[in-house]
Amino acid sequence: MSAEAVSAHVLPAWRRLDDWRRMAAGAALPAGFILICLVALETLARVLAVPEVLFPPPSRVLAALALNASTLCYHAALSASQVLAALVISLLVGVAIATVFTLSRVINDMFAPLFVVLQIIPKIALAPLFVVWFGPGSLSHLSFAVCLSFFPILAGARAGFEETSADAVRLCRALRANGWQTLIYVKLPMALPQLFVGAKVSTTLCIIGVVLGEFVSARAGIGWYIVRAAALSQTANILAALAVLSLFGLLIYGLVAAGETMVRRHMFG
Amino acid sequence: MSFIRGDGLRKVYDPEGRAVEALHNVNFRVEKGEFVSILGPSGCGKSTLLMMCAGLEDISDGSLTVAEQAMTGPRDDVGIMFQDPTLLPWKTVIENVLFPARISRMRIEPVRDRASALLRSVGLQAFEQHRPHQLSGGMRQRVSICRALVNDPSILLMDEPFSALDAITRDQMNVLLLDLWQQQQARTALFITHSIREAVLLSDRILVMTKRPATIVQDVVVPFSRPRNSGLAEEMEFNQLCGRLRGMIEDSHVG
Repeated sequence: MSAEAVSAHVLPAWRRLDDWRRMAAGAALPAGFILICLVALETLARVLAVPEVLFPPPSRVLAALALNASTLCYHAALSASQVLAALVISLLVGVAIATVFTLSRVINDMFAPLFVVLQIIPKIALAPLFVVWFGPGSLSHLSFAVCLSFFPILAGARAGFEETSADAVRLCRALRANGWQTLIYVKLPMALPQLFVGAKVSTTLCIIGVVLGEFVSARAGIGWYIVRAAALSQTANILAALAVLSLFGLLIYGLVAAGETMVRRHMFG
Repeated sequence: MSFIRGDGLRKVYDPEGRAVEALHNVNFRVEKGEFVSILGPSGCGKSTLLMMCAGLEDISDGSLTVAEQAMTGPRDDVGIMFQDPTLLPWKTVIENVLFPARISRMRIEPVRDRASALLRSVGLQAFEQHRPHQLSGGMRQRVSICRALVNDPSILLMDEPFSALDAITRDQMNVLLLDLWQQQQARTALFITHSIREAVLLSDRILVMTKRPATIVQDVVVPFSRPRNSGLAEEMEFNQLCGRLRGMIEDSHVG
């Protein structure tokens, strides 16, 4: 029985290379489509002579990107660091609240419904309020982003904790494990996949939160850059900033997704 | 006084206000060092009874004492096996076996030797660093046996531990458990099963349980001397006893 049981779970190098090739092949078609779209837009913009303020051709955006590379990088780095910080804080806040909920029935029953009701409030509308509370600086952007993005993580962690196999929890009870031990040894590791599902949603919300915060009030950051470029009718610059923002979003989402794959593969086989 | 003793045990579930009686006036004794099986059809409440003995299920009525102490919750001298091996997928085999020691905050080093010895005794010495998903179902349940024994419990509770396995693996596991059991004397075991042959091969005594009212209707001593081996199952007396037990279960259903 052992021969078939110990099947190759450690992927050989060529299989891994194969994975990459398959992924590259999967990306080729969408990338090709985007390329075709860009060429089409370029041609249209030139042939129809659309005013550049309305719609700059992609080549102009690319030129703006190259011209303002250092400025864009500066503002993007500023926003990026806030997005990352917001994600980390959201993770801590979300997991901490879920932990309190899972450790105390009373607190769970008292507050869990309220958190769900709070989600119905259009939180985007709260952005100016955060400026009033925390000033126009990065603190308000950060807190607003966290407020916007911690809920998916809380929901993911709660689902993960609840989902923990009843058998494993029963085993812990039989071994007279206390609540903390059950949480640390069993519930938290088992909740990780669900936690990552929440974190992926939170990632995009963090970006929205920071950029929106910068829209409302800021002296730097990619959101501020976009607002300023809009005020000066520099449409190419807006689109260039947008491209940078999208790239960054993809990168951080990819990082979280890679983390998820790693956890699933290495912890759950 | 008996080591495990249940008197007038009753369990009533109350889903949506409609009381359902899962156990009705269950009386039984288990002496120290005995291997006792509770045999009955699926869904007759045998598992509920075992979970009561593990301190994992509240008792609605009656009394249950273990070592002359009333049952109030899980005890630390109990090892337990469930139908599902319940291994933690991210831990290696040896770490899964050491899990009870980690929970009870024991010093790990002395226990580690014991865990290795246990794994060797079930033929898994080469798999200490493997993870559960790399093992077959039978191997996982063997890890679960080792985990149940790692703290050297005086009581071993088993809730249909082999019922999810295929017939051949199940026979192998029965022999393995028989051997493990016969290598020691100090432990007391309560084993839940719906397999008559499994119960006869392993037990000193069999309590036959029936559905509605869920109660113990027969207390049958298994007369075969130990050490036993798998050859016992081919003998006539063995099969006669199996036949008698089958008759008892069928009778109680008709009545």
